[in-house]
Amino acid sequence: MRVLYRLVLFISVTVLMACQFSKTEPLPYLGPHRQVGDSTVYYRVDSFAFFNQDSQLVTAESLRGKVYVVDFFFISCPTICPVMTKHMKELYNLYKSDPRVVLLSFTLDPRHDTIPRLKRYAHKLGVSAPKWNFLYGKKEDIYATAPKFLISAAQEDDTDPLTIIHSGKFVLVDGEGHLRSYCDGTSKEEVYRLAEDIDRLLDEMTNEGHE
Amino acid sequence: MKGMNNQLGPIVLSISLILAFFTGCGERYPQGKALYEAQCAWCHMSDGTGLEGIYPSLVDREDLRQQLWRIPCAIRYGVYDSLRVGDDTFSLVMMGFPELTDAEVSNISNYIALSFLKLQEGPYNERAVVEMLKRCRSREDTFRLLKSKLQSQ
Ligand code: HEC
Repeated sequence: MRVLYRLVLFISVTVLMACQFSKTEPLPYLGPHRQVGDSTVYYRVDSFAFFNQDSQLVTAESLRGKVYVVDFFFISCPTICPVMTKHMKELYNLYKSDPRVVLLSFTLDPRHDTIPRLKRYAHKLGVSAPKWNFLYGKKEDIYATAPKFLISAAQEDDTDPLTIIHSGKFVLVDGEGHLRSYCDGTSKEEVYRLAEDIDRLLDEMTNEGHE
Repeated sequence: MKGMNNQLGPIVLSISLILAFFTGCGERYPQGKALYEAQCAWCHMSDGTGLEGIYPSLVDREDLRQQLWRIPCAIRYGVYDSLRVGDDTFSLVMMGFPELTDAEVSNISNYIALSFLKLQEGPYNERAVVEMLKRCRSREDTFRLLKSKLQSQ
């Protein structure tokens, strides 16, 4: 029995230490890095500009200093979008009162998802900008933006006009435009893990503010 | 340590039995469940709760309990309550699934009745479903019209 107690003690201490460790460990920087002299330059999303459901321009610049979550969807999407939107709405509710967190949903079907329809959709869903932006723009611009978030470029399926194959990923971007985390937007567990990463980024921002 | 293992045996066994009971094995409409997961859960979600404001929840719906025909009708011919005159967005309506057979429609309906409406017995059999579907045959025209519009877009 002595051995057992020791074992239990050892395991608990290890687990406790691991937890402490993972809490203080900063989130990784995703994407290609570049070495310039002594410092590392991390990949960042530098430029994009789209209109939201209120016809306001949302740009990479205007989001500096915000932590934001990105996904790609379209209103009539018959497959993975509804559950992604449901999970986005949970993030919306979690960070309702924190203006540092912003959500972006780019429509992959701007021909049908016009600004008034996006507005109606957001209204029905019970959400609004500037917290949750449904972004509209030229189709080729939107399709060129997905790879900037290192999401596999969305493509239309030629065989069926009603389906667009696309990635169900949520991507987490920090206040400087660096990609810091991503998850499968169709999995509730993964989305809650992403929320923990959002909290870590917010902590990071708070700590930087104090320096 | 050996004693521990002997005690763990029955516990592990009962946990597995309980788990087996609550998942899969207790399922009375396995085909209905499989079809629901494959065709309906995208919008109404696996747990039937839908997406508030966009896709209606099917859980504990008294109106559906009172008007049982509405479930098979929704499956075969679709639901167009939110369609407005002059509106060309079909995003908030539900297109029907005319390719599902009467038996499949009845299995999905029973699955919904037991899992989400909390009925004790499945009220749908093929004959009842055929009768119920007569109530909403007029929706077929709407379905055809929308389908052709969607495809020409
Ligand atoms: C593409 C999304 C989508 C899919 C897939 C879908 N539904 Fe629906 N469903 C809807 C929408 C939207 C409505 C509400 C339509 C309206 O009010 O005009 C609805 C309404 C319903 C209703 C309510 C009917 C009523 O009379 O109020 C039932 C029942 C239903 N769906 C069952 C199903 C079943 C069963 C399946 C699978 C065979 C399914 N749905 C697949 C979107 C969907």
